[in-house]
Amino acid sequence: MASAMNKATARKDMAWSAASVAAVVLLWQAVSTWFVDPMFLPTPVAVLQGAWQLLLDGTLLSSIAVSMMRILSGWILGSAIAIPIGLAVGVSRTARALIDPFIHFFRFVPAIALVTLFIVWFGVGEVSKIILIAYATAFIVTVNTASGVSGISQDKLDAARCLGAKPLQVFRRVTIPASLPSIYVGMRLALASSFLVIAAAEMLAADSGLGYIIWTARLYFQVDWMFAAIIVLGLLGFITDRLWRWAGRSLFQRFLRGVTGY
Amino acid sequence: MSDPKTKDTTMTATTAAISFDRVGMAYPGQKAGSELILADLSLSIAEGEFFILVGPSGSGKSTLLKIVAGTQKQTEGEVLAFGEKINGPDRRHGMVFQSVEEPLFEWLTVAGNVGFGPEVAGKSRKVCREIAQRYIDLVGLRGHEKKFPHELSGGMKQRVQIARTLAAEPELILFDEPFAALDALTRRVLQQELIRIWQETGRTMVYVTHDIREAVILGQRVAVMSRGPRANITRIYDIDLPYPRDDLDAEFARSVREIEADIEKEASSQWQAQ
Ligand SMILES: Nc1ncnc2c1ncn2[C@@H]1O[C@H](COP(=O)(O)OP(=O)(O)OP(=O)(O)O)[C@@H](O)[C@H]1O
Ligand SMILES: [Mg+2]
Repeated sequence: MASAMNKATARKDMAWSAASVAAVVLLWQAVSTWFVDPMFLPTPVAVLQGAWQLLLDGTLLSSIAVSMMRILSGWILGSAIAIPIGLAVGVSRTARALIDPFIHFFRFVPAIALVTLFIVWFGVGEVSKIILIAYATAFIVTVNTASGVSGISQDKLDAARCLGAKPLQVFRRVTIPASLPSIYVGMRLALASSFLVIAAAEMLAADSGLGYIIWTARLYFQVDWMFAAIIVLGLLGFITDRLWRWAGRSLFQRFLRGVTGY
Repeated sequence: MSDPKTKDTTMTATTAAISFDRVGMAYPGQKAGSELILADLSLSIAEGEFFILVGPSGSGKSTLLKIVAGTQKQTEGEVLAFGEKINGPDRRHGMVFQSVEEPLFEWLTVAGNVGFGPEVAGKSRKVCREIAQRYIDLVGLRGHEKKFPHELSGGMKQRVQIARTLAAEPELILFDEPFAALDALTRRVLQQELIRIWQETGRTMVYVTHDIREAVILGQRVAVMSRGPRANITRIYDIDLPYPRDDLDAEFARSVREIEADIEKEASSQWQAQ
């Protein structure tokens, strides 16, 4: 679909983004070289060296794998639970009355507040972290899904019914496709908060993962490791978000027109 | 010739496509004891008729259509369609909505939208495609089958709605100001197409509009509704002009003027009442 014009524009945008990132890195290099104690703010070069060290001894890749596995499993599990609940709450008054109090109570209890409790309940292993991410994901996705369903215009539902669709057909052929944009956006927001939660969880109770690197680097006065892990976390978030956006634009494009713009 | 009648009594319920018998309507959730929107409304529309409903804004024209469509239920009286009580929305009562964007399924192509009715009726893929194609051709959208709604103009979207409603093969079709959002030229083209479709399919058409010229171009009978609350049908005009109608014809102009005067009276009584 992208015309030559669009491609040229896209290339120009990329160039601006690259220039902006380069400028910030240069500024960082300057500040850390001349103005700040490198114990507090290592130079970009030092961070790269730290990352190289972590890469060579295998810690970096295994930590990325572990953290991503936790994030993705929790995110998928949370969404798999939340989407049906959100649909039910959006469609049925009774389901809404039954479930709403819990949704609007627990969504204000941050996942981070539950880290310790989940460790007590589920142990220090993978389960507690995956459940924590699922928890953080579930409320965001539920609320988005339900508000998407209740936002479907009455005309659209009435049109389907007047064309002869039975309730189950309306649900499957109109309610679900029409709420996909909200589900998609909810999952995207949840992905971001999964990163937030995993960092916290791995600092408190883990022996692997990027959060663990950030936390333990302190013990060895390795601020460069800390920075390396922080930057890798940001990059992973950036990449998964781009992948999700790409999936929205290519695989589900016809359902998601209008929400994949940013 | 336009021969106004206060109330239609010539058609019996057995031959009527739609009959209202002393219907009253209040929306659920309206304050208890507040006045009815429609009150004591009786009406009979014959099978195959092109029936037009005009009247002041807020009088209850859309409400009347929704009752026939089955998306709302009257609170008093009886409504029959082809002799049967209306029990919720039904494939046999098609509706073309006033809104241009909302009623279409934006994730389906033109062909997918038009084929929706046959598809939910359980027809095979091949049959759905054939039916969809027939009605896409009928509304002049051949060549646009694979487009999505956002790639169409407003007039094309309304034609998709019309084709989609026809493809579900309803026995009567309700139109709620379907061309109100369109420019004058597109509206004219679609009016002519609608007359052609009506003549080709022989369906019963109930059409709400604010545009008296449109009413007289399309309708065999034009009913004027009184202002609400407790709205009713005050008058029904027979338009006995041959199709296609010539809006420069003296008879045409006379009918338009007559109905317009009637509506103005209704509307001004509304302002005086406030
Ligand atoms: N869903 C609803 N709930 C409560 N009241 C409603 C609802 N829909 C319409 N009404 C009320 O019913 C009355 C008639 O509305 P309706 O939409 O049928 O009018 P209308 O004749 O179609 O007007 P217009 O020409 O402006 O479209 C209005 O007073 C309106 O406020
Ligand atoms: Mg209306």
